[in-house]
Amino acid sequence: MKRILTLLAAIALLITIPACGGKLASGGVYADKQTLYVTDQTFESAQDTLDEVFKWEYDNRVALLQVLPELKGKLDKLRLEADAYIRQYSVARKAYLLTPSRDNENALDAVLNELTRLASAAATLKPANQ
Amino acid sequence: MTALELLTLLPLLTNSARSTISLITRLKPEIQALFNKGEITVEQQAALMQEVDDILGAHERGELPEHWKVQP
Repeated sequence: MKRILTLLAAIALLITIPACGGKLASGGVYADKQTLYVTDQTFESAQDTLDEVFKWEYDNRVALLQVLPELKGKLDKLRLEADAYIRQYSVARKAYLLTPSRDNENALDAVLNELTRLASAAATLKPANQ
Repeated sequence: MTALELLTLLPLLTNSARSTISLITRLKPEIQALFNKGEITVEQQAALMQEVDDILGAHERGELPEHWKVQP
């Protein structure tokens, strides 16, 4: 339930941000690609969250194995899933850049939703004060 | 309801407030500029594109940092 709500929140974010009227400076690489700008920005944020949690666990692995022995297994599963979805994002992004159709946009969003879900799951595994 | 109002309500809608807030607080100034109807500069756009390209390229080539690798 928790993950579903978080996923819904991420989807709501994707839907509402483009409607907010932000302006991309003309001449920029995203100037005529606001949808891609928003998806790339969300992708980068999700990847950044995953990277931070993975590094925290890696840097403190010996100690964490003592106090949270199940953590590495959970994060290893997320590592594999995240890598796979990031590769999928790359494929979907290339397809969207080539043909910015609604179908390709939906495919891009679907992968992004999965990455956001993984980032949310990873964030919940890291104590807030770490 | 505006996007900002929706974001304000999100933590109340979920019991997973921390994870939601965590994601939202990581939103970069460029996204905040969208909410503020500010302009995202050419340089900011180029920086994001470069960062995304670097991340995707590393995963495509299998050149992952050690902390992304599954180790025994």
